[in-house]
Amino acid sequence: MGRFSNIVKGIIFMCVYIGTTMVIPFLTFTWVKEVQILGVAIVLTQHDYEKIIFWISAFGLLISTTAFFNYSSPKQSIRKGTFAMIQIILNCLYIWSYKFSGATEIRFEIVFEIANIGFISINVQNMVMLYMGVYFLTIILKGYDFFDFLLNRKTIREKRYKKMVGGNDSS
Amino acid sequence: MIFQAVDFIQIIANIVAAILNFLNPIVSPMGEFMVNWMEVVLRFFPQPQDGLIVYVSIAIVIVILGLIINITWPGNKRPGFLKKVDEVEDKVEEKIEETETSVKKKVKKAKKKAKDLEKKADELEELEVETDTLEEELEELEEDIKDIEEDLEETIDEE
Repeated sequence: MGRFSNIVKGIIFMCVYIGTTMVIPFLTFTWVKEVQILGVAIVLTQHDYEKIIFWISAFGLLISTTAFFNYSSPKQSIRKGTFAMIQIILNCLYIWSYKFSGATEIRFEIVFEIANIGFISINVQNMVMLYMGVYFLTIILKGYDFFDFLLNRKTIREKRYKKMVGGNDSS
Repeated sequence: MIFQAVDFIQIIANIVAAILNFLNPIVSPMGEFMVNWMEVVLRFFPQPQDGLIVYVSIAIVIVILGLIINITWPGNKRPGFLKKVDEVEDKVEEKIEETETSVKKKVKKAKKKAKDLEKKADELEELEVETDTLEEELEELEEDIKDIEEDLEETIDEE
């Protein structure tokens, strides 16, 4: 692939990541902040709303930019492997930042007219743990890829630049 | 219909719960390890009171670096060691072509010689046939001469 197509690919993926890691969570949390079910005003007492938005923006930015670097790099290159690994690690931190800002223990306070009826608390920490375990396996996989790219650099490059029958580059 | 949908959702939920319960003892310790190191690492990250400036500047740096690096080295240039290999391959190909052409020339020459030899062999065969016929004629002539000599001797004797 040429340099132009690489950059375009990187920009497309950066936009996708901005959408999925920043815009959608931002809209979701803003919507969850004040939600009504069956006419009863269930106010989400999300004290750390601003904190969540901060961590979403911070890690979303880093993830999106590393995605740009990752997807604009040539296939099976060391820089791609490096940034793919960084991206996964940042993804873990991003997911964990939800807990950090109190999102893994969502507390819904039920307020009916003036009286406070009670609250519903959903603890999703166990699920986050499971998710983190899966991410751990993904990091191992990315680490393997990185070392594969590093150790088999010569053969990968030979394959990438393998001459075709007509004598043209296959890259 | 709604009740059926609830049943269906319940079945799916049961399946997912079973999978999660099965994976939980294997994957959860890994998750715990991840959480431990991430809690340590996150302490060193700029906190909400510090603002987003650090993150934004890091993001800008990464994008600029990505642009510069991937424009300068897009990964479609052949590396140096492969160029040398190409040179050697080209030389080998040239030599192979040269030897092929010389071998072809030799083969052509040999074919020409073979054709000439075939022609000569045919001529020789024709000559052999001619010599055979001439020899036969000679033999006949010799017999005729003998006959004439005998006739002559007989006539001389009679006289």
